[in-house]
Amino acid sequence: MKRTAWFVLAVLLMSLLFSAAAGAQKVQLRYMFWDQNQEEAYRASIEEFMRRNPDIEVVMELVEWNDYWTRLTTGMAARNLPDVFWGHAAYFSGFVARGALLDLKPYIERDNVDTSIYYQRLLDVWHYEGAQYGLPKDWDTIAIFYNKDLFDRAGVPYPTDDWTWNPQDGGDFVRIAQLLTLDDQGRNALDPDFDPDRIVQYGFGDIAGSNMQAGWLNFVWMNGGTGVIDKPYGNKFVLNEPEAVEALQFWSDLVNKYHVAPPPEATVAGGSAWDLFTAERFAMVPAGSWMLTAGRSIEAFSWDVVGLPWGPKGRVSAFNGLAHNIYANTPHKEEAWRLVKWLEGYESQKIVAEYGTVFPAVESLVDVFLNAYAGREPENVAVYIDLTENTGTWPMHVNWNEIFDVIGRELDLAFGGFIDIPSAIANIEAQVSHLLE
Amino acid sequence: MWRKRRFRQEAIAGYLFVAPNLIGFLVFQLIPIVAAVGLSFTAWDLINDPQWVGLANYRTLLKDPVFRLSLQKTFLFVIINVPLQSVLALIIAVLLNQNIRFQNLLRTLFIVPWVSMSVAVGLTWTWIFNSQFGIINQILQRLGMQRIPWLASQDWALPSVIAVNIWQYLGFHIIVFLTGLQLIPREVTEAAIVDGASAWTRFWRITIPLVSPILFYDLIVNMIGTFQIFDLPFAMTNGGPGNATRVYNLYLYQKGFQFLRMGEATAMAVILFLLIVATSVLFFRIIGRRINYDIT
Repeated sequence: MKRTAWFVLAVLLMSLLFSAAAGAQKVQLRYMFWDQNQEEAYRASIEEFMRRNPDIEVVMELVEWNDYWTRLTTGMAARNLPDVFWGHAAYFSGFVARGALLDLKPYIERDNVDTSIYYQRLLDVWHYEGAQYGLPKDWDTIAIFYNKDLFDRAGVPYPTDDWTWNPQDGGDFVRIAQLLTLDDQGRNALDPDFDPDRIVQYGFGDIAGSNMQAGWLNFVWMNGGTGVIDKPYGNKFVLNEPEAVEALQFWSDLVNKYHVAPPPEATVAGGSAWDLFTAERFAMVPAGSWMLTAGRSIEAFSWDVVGLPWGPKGRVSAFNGLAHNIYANTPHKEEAWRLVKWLEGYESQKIVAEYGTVFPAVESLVDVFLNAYAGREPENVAVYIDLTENTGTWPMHVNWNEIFDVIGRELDLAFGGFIDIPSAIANIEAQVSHLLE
Repeated sequence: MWRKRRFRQEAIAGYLFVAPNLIGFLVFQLIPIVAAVGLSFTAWDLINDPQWVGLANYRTLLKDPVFRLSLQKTFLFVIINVPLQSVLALIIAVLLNQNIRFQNLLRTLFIVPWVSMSVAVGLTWTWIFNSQFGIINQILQRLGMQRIPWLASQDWALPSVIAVNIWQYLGFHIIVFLTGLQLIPREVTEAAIVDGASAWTRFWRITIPLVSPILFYDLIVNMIGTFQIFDLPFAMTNGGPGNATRVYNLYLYQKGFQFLRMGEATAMAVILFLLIVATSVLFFRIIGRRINYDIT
């Protein structure tokens, strides 16, 4: 009898021990992202998530943008991928069409997630064939950073938010850029003796075929063009519309006619436009709001931001944002969804907004971000919000990377002055037609 | 019986000695090569399982104008790079082999670019070559000359990248030739000096024939390596402007990892492999037979 009692007790104890061990077995989620500027904010949010979800441990993996997409594709091939990772519109269309991402729609419906708190156009980015692959995490629009010191030195008033451009004579935008483009004798681009072969400072920079989002595509829209493809996942190439061709010609003119910006090679090979802006070689650069954090490290000069100049058909900015995607083959779908639901939710976006690194995708939290920004350069940061009034979105297509590679190469040749815009457009059309089908 | 056992023991020891290398070759070379040949007959987007498509990838490539263009750029790269680089290295090696001052310093200077990381080397050169802000064009302008669009124009970009490549890997080829020059017996050279042969005659009649096996080896290695050129065009121009420097392996990389067409990428790898084998055989047939291997 006594022996039996001991036996029972031993069994009880052991089962207790085992269940305790099982309880300690946390699900580990791998979380991959590329922007170091946002690491601190997301670490704070994820720590709060782990406090509330003691059964989940999240491991953050920072991979720089240049390696990020190669890591993802090779990871997919090896079936060894982070469960949750940052997605970008440029790569989303290729991944989603090949079945790499988990459809969140069933989870959103099951948990009654309120998607009306987000900017609706951002929600649409992650939409494909009736399914929803992401909830928006943040957003960005495009404005122009300018170096106040260079404006002061040239005696030119700072650009105001009502400035304009047009493809005929360039408008205020070109005139201001001309006054800030100087040759090695200090003559500006409006001086009759100005030597365009000896420019030491450019009024504007970042003319490159690959600079679509912060560059030429905004000007295509502002001139009344549709964009690159007729609609998301459409199959019609529309960059050959006369309005688009005219806007691209204007971009080529900035380099080859007005001489206010260097050819693509100067900012693609060796040194980005950003490097040259911070080195005070460029008075103005187009910059997405994601560059605000990088801008904070500028100490050599004071700077501010102004909205894009108004075009013939108004002012239009690219509007884009990121989302957290879930890998379709993750063994921890439920836990991954809990993490994503938290990260895109109001509370987490509030935590992240307080760090003032990126604009939150939850519309009502924008003021939290602005408060976090108060007293910091640039003074005019709210202009990025004004730019959400009239926007265009990223061209989506399953073969986008291949299409964009062709566009970048041909436009670089045209912006560099080696071929004309109509030939570049014809070349692009010939090479992408089979990819669009 | 005893002998046989001894023989067997030696054989086992021998296999053990080559085992590390053999395993490395199997795991990192042979298996991937065989897998690549297999994958070249499939459509594979890296995300889903490969699907058997027969020769479809090869047919697609033959119709692809960029494939032909990248092949053409690579051949051009090989034809310009290999003879220039190897001959230049031979000349420098012969000069460095003399008793000159600063011999070690000079040798080091030629080796440093070779042991540097090529992405860093490439990026540095893009700054130097930058048409607007680069140091070379600034000097040219000081001297009253025109700027040269080193990496900007389609005509200049390939020669510029080749020039950097020649410079970067010169050190490796110099070492190869220096080793070859050390193999030339001193008596032969001394006998020639006693006979009154000039330096020029000695170079052509003694150095060249005796170093010819090394020269042949170097040309083959250089050819194989240059066919696979990737790093500098990737770091300096990403194949641009337009397609001016879009060499074969750069396009292969893009197809595989950016465009998610791994089947076509592996087919490209198989074609390049066959091309390199064919070119090497041709080399051996045409030049290999005339090489004097009898050094003593």
